[in-house]
Amino acid sequence: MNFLDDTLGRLPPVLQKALAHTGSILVGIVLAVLLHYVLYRIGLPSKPFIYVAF
Amino acid sequence: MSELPPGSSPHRSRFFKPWSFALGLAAGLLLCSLVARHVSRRSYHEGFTRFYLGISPEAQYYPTLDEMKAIVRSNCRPDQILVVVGGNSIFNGVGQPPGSVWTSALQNELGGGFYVVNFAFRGALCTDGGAIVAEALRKEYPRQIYVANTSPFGAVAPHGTEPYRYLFWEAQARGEMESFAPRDAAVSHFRRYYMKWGERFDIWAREGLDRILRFRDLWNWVGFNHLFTIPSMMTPHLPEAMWPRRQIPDAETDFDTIPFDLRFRPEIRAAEMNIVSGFSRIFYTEGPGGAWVLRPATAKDYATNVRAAFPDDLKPRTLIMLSRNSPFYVDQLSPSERSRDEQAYRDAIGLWRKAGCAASEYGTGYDVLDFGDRTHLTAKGGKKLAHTVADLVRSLSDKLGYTHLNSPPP
Repeated sequence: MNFLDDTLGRLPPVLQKALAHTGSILVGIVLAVLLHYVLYRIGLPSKPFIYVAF
Repeated sequence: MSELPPGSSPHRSRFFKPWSFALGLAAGLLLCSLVARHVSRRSYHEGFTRFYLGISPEAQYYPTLDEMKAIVRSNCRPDQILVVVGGNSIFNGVGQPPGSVWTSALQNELGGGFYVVNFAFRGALCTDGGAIVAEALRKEYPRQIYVANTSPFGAVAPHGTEPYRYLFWEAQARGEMESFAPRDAAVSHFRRYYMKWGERFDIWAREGLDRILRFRDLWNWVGFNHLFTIPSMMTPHLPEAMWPRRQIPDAETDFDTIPFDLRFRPEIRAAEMNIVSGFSRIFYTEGPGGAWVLRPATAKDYATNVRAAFPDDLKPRTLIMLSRNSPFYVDQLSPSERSRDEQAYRDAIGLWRKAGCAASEYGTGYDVLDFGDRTHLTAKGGKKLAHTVADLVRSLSDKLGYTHLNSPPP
C-alpha cells in the first residue's frame, strides 16, 4: 500500500483521483467475476456421480 | 510516509474507494449475468446428438435448463412438431456410437415434419431431464410430444432423482413449471420429510441466486467452449482435465464391436438373471388359479406417483415406453415368471393410460442381438425401437391434431 501510495502520490491530484476510482472499480469487477465463479463451483455436488446400471 | 487526509485510515490506501469498489462489484455481477443470458440464448452444442459422458454429470458437467432450451430453439423450426426424448441410459443410447443412436433413426423415420431431441440421461427417471425441458417449453412449442422410458412399477418420482433433480429445482425457481396440485403435494412431502433444513436452504439460496446471476449458464458456456476447470473421473489428468468440453468427443462404446461373451459375461449372468427373475416379483402375489395379482399398496403408490408425474394438461402428449429385458435372460424364466412379467407390463401400461398418458412397451419379439446387455440396445435394436416409437408418435400427433392444417402454430 505504501509503495502504491508513494508512487501514485507523485501524480497530479486530478489524475490520482481518477486512477483511484478506476482502480477500485476494476478490482470490484475482478472480484465479482471470481465471486460468480465461486458460486458456480460451490453449487456443484461434492460427491462425483457414478452411474451404475441395474 | 505521506501525510494522510483527515478521516483516512492508516491501514487503507487512499487509492481504494469503497463506493467505487462496490460499484465495480455490482457492475461485474451484472455483466456476468448479462453475458450468461446472452450466451445461453443460442445453442453452442453444434450438431447436438445427446448428452454423452463428457458433457454429463459423470464429468461434472451439469447442463442448464436454458442451455437445453437453446438447443431446441436453435434446431426446431416453427413448422416442426417437437419430440423431446427423456428417460434413462437406454433412451440416451448407451452402447450406440454417435452415428447409430436410436434417436437419429427416430428422426429419419419421422422425417422433416418433426424435430427429435435426445435429453435422456444415464440413471434418470422419466420425470427428469427431457420432461423438465418439455414442460418449460410447453407454451413456446405447443405441438410437442414427450417420450420417455421406464420399467413396470419402477421409480416415478414427480420431482426426479439425483443427480438430475437440480433441473427440477432450477425450473421451479424460475417459475417454468406448471402449478399442479398432486405434484406440488408430492414435492412438499419430499422437502419436509426427506430433506434436512440445510439442504432446503441450500437449494433455496442457490436457485434464488442463480435465477438472478446465472452463474451456471455462464460457466457452463466457458467450460464447454474455452476452459473447463473441474476435475472429473472422465478427464482426471492434465491437460485433458482443462480442455473445453467441446473437445471431448462422444466416445460411446459400440456394442456391435464387443464380443457376445464380453457383453454377457459368464461371471455376471447369475446376478443379471436374479435381477430379471425378480423384475416383478415384489409387486405381485399369486392369486387363485395361478393368476398374478398386483399388490394393492403397489397399485396405490404407483397410481399416485404416475398421476403426479406430469401436469394433467401435458399428459395427453406424453408417451411412456416400458422397457423389456434381453431375451437372453427372459427366455430362461419359468412360465410362471414370464406370465407375472406380462401381467406387470399390462398393469403398468393400464395405470399410465388411466392417468391420461399414452403408454406402450418395446422389446417383445426382439432377438438376442438387439440387446447389447441385459437392458441396453444395440444399433439394430435401436432401429426397431425407433420404428415402434415413430408409429406411436405419428399416431399421437394425429390424435392431438398436430398434423391437421388448422393445428395451432408453434
